Amino acid sequence: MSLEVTDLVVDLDGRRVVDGVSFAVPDGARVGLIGESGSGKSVTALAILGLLPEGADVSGSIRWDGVELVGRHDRDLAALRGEQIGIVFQEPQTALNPLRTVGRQIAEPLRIHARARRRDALARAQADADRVRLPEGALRRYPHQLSGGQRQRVAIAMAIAARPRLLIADEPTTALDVTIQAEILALLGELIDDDGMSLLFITHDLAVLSQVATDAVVLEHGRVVEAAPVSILLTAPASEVTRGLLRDATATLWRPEASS
Amino acid sequence: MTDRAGWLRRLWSLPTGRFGLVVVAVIGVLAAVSLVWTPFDPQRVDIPARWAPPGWPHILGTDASGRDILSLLLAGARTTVLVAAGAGAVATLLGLALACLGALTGRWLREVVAVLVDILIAFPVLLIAMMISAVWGGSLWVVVISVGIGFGVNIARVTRPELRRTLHSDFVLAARASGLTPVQIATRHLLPNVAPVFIVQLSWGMAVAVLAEAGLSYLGFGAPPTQPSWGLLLSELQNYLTAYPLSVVWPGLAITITVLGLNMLGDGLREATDPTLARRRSAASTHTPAVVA
Repeated sequence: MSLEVTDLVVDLDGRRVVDGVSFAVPDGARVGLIGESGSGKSVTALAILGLLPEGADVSGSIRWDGVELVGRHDRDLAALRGEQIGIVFQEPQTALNPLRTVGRQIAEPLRIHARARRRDALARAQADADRVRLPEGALRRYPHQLSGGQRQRVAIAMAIAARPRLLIADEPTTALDVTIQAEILALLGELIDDDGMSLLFITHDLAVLSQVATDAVVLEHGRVVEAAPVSILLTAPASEVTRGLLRDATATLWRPEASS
Repeated sequence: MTDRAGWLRRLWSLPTGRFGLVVVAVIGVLAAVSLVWTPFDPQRVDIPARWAPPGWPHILGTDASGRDILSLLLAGARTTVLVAAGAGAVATLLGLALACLGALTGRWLREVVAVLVDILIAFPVLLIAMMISAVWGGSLWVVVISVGIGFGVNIARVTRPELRRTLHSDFVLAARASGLTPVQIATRHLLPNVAPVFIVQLSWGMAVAVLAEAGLSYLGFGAPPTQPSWGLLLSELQNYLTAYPLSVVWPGLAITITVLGLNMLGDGLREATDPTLARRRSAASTHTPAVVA
């Protein structure tokens, strides 16, 4: 179950935001996509799942388990989303439906993909809630009754509920406090190990990336500028972009308040 | 996880919701009862008993031709229920259809529907009623259809942007990323989130339908004179306002209470279906402080 992206090109309303990106996430690998904002990392993630807004034009190749995803019907992709590839988004404040209880939202992917009955799905949702260490009784709460960190845990539980083979995490810790960031990163690492998932981790922060990924692809203006193991990026960056990211990451380590 | 009847219980716990529910239920029951029984035949003319003051046997008195006002009001409740429910149904169907077309379809059709709604909203309900009755003659259906169209357009106008906002929200993206199909997204995420806005518009539309029936019947576009109607009764009695001021009070009161009840029911429903509003009210009882993750 590997992901191969080859010469991916995405135009949004006529503007080229991803320009010939190629990389691969082999089975069990932990790959980071890193770059400044506007470098095309989130668009790449959305393109993989076929979730780009209308007016987006995608060409190139995205192969999942050898099967081409570009140009596939939305119905086929829907069967894949959540079931094979899960995603966690950046903003936990808005990623949950305010009108539905946390339990129903975690159970939703199970109800759809495993066609689980309500009771079974809720039992499994409870197990997932325990795995992401939500407090007792969280399933009966509404999103507004949870903290930002707890909401992100709910989003993670939703993403892994149907046991996907690949987890895409799009800046999952950027909106969180620094202390909670570390907890969420540790949790993600743990879940990936337990389930044997692959990880595609998207961030602008090399310090964060170094905690979860082993390999990284550096993007700038929609193009790949460097692809190397994270240890190489940290010690011997080959491009000016990576050196810039490294400087920012170091600044983050020393002055947390400047990380925005 | 949520109790499916939970919103009903929340509605009952709200003063506005309880009042609205009781009023609407009472009007409905009275209308049903009037089908089989009224104190007097509402259309029976009894000249010797004309302008009887409230008392026995005419509890609310009689009108200029000796008809029993209470019986007229009970029979008129049927018309009110029919008009409010009919106009509500037409407005719901039309409004949601236009809102969905204007929010969920392709760019081109969306724009056309938006412009169409903007044009239709410029037509007053009265004008629509006059146009329809010019073709088919005056009847209650004219009221139902014209108010339904008028408020359906209103509902579409208010619901469409809300639908688009929800469609582009992160949680809908997350739901799509979970593998939900468009239909599942519409029923589980979109409709529940636009429901509060929609309900307020609908209850307001139904209240206006009650008023519009009175107004249009008065102008001759609505209920024919043989059909008992609060609006007709009011317009007949107001001719004698200076001589018998008390008689006008009864249909006026019936209309006022019904409109108030519908508005409060809508207000209560909006609050009962939105858990983020429920929190503020019952914060002390159920909300335990969130532990920082």
